[in-house]
Amino acid sequence: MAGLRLEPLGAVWAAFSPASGETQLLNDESAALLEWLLEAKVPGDADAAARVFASDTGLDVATLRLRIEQAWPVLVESGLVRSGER
Amino acid sequence: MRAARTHEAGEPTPAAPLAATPLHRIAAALAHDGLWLDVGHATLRVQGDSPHLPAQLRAVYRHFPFIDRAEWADVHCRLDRPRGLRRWLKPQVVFVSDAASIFSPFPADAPLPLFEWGCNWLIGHRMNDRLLLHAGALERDGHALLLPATPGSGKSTLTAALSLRGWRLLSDEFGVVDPDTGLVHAMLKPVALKNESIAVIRAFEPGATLGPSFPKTRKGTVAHLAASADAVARRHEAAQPAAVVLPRWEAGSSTRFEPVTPDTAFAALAFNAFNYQLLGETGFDTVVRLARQCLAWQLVYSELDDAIDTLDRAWPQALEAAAR
Repeated sequence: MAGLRLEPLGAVWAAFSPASGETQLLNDESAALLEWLLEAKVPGDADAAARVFASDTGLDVATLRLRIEQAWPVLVESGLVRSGER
Repeated sequence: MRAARTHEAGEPTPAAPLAATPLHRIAAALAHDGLWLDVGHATLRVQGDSPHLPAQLRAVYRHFPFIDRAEWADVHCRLDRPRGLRRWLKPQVVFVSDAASIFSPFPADAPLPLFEWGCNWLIGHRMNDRLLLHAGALERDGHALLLPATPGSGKSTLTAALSLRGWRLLSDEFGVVDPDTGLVHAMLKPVALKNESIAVIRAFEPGATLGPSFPKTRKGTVAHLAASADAVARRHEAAQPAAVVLPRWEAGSSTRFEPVTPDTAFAALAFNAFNYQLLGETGFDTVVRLARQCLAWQLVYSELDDAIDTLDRAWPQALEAAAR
């Protein structure tokens, strides 16, 4: 989403979507996913994100995928990312 | 915005306080060009023919200058007696702004709570040049303490008590934050005390200036604490925010004072604000800045003296953090 803002606030992140006007407080996983989607500038999915994060962190892909799948709906519902499903 | 009275000779002169102004002059101002109340960040212009209003305004705006003509007001309203049978049968008073009556009428002898609620509603809906937090706001040592809270949390009682123990009242309802400077401004109106809080504040400070009590309003009995002469004199002095305290009154509890994380402070400030969503990204940036720069605590209390001692002890820590 254009103009999306992500600011660290102690142990969590505050995200603001100018498109929806919504504010969300995000954990590290959700914030990392959001940042990755913003930097990629192309549509991404949980598999691709899990692979990238696994190579960055050394964590297991399957575990990361599960955590990302939990974070994804929060980001979509708050208007921070747009779902590819129509 | 600041109102300036000019006299016929064209020279500004200091206006007498309302407390020293005869009631007939206040009534005449209300009946003609209005009484202009400069409450710091806003000027309210009130007109009307309610016979009870002059004395009630004089009681709780006693230290404000009597201004009967100015160039600008942010809020314009009237408190009038309705026409027709209602003028004689169970008489009422109506609040009118922009030719619309936006609240249910009140009994004729209770224009003050209607004026206070009506003005607060107009301020909360219209003054979007600043972030309006739903918070008590006080100043000390040039820095502001913000008390964001939901109704019923004891915010107004604590704000009133602090204002009677050396803290300068900025507002009991609006934490007015300038998005450009980050400074907190005064919206200095009387503190609206409800139900048991009225007796609590009377006992806490017998010398406190409270206006009349109004029973059976939609929030129960309401009485208003007048701002001090010093708070009125300094109502255009803004303050750098230093601390956010989330108050919660709990019957019989011992005082608990615990640090909260910046995200908790952020949520309390943003989600209790009048116009956070309306301001969009500006609101977001302003609250992020507040949450980062202020120390934040939760205060659970039942005894005002104890709560105030606790805040007094913590305050140097907030000042120190603000200086970094």
